[in-house]
Amino acid sequence: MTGLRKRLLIVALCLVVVLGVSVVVLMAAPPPAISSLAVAPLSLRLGEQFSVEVDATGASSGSLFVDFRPTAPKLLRLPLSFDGTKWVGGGQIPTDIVLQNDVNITFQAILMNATGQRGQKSKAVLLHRNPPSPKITWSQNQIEVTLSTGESTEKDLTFSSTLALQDVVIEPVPEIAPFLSVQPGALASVPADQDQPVRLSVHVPAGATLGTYEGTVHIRSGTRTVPQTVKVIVNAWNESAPTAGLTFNFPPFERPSQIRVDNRDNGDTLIRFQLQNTEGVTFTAFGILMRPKSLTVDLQQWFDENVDIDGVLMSSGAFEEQQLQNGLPALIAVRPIPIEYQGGPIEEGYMASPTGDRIISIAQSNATDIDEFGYTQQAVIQMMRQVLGAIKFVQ
Amino acid sequence: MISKQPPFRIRFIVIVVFLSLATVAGQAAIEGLFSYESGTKYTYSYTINNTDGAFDISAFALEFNLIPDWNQDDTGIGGDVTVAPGWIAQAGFPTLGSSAQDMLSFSSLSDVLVGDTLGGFSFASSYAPGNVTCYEFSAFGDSSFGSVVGPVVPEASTVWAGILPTGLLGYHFLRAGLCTWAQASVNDKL
Repeated sequence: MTGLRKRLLIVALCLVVVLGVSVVVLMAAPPPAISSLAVAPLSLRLGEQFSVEVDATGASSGSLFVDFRPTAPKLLRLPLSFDGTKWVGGGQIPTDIVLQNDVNITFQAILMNATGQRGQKSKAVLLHRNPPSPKITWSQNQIEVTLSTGESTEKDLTFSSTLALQDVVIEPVPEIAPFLSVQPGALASVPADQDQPVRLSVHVPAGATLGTYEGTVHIRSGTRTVPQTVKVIVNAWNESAPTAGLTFNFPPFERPSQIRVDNRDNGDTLIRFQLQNTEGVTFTAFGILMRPKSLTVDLQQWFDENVDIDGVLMSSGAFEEQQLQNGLPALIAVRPIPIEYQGGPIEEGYMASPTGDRIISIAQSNATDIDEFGYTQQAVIQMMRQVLGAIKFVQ
Repeated sequence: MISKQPPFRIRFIVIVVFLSLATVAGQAAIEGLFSYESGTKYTYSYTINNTDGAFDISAFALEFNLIPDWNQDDTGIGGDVTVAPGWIAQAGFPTLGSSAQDMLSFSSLSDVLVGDTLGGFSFASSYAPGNVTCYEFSAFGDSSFGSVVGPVVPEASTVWAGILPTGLLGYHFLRAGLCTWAQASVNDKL
């Protein structure tokens, strides 16, 4: 029994010694040493995401405290996890802080070792007063429609926002508001990075003053208006009487206008839109030319065989295919004609009739009298594109 | 302080004050106590009573209009500050005052959940008791505030206006049997 007691006593003593040594070793373990605390980005805005990286040794757990005092009685705690090389974490700045100025907030990383000893490091980070600005991307930057009084049309487009939006209003500016309605006009919320369909309904009411109206459709989120807008041009124009199987719109001019139709021997039909200059002399502002076309040839083939024989116009980008307001595809001159072009006269735009048996093109007159009406060369070209796009075919 | 009982032959005065922060429904309370042994410092003790709270408590901060005369970070054995397990103490950023004592829960495991109570927070100061502002925080940005007993810069008017009524209030609780620690102290004294 005595021997057993001795052995038990020795074992107990050993255990006490081992335990004591362990405690001493653990107590002697140094607190975690933090060599760096990195916050990205270093200047933040309300609602913005951030990430942190902490270089430290001797830690077994970690937390990040984001302290908004004294600006606001707010404290965030986020866990830090070890990714094998660093302690990492991240979070989002709350949006419910009222800031009068840019302020500094404090990021504090606290790491602990197994014995509860701590190491800590702080960094001041700038918090901007203004929240991040969402960026809106519209499917189209500009819409131009040409209508006569009483006519309507619709345009479908989409937008997406880089940030989630709340209390969204989509509205036109007052200049074009009488002609435009937007559906939906309001949305409770718009998620980030998702296409949001919008339909613009354009209507020129009877009795509206003819002219060209320009404005934008913009998005408001709360009280903030997002700078990215869609430009909208509404041409409230006259409409011609049916002529040679079509009607077209033209701008209001302060002097008399007339339409002349020439049926040529080769089967072409030329519709001349004519005005009077200040001396009372009639001149042609632009002409619409209709040419017969084989049904087996599409617009591009016809253009290649009859206009762009060398392929220079399309390959240089001088002409491009566009969808016109009337829904028909067209080849439109968008850049200067390259000097390599050796073909004949070129018109501003070409399209095929819906039945496919005619090519309709529009060309500017050589007369410069239209300058008297305040039209620059560029404005005339723009006007002719609109005339071509608003052509309607009648029986 | 609860387990620390004065010896039988007492030559000093013990004053006990019990003040509660829980004056608003749905708000947690930081309950404060102080004790004083003549010739030594005041010891301020706090309990988080989240029985009726609206959010889990991950931190609280006491704000003072004084320069602390205790080591605000020293939670080691024999240190100036004691904290509950899983909590840390440090000097904080005051929202309104000139200094603050922060008590921070290191992780969600040590947060005081709604319905729970956690004590074990204290520090000692030579500044006499008065009312200080106390903020309580969640880990996610929630906060509320109130007032609780804490060290203040002594002013003649506040000494009598603050200590005497609160001392009487403490005496009321003693007599009512609402504070067992206080009863034990008084019994020992007697």
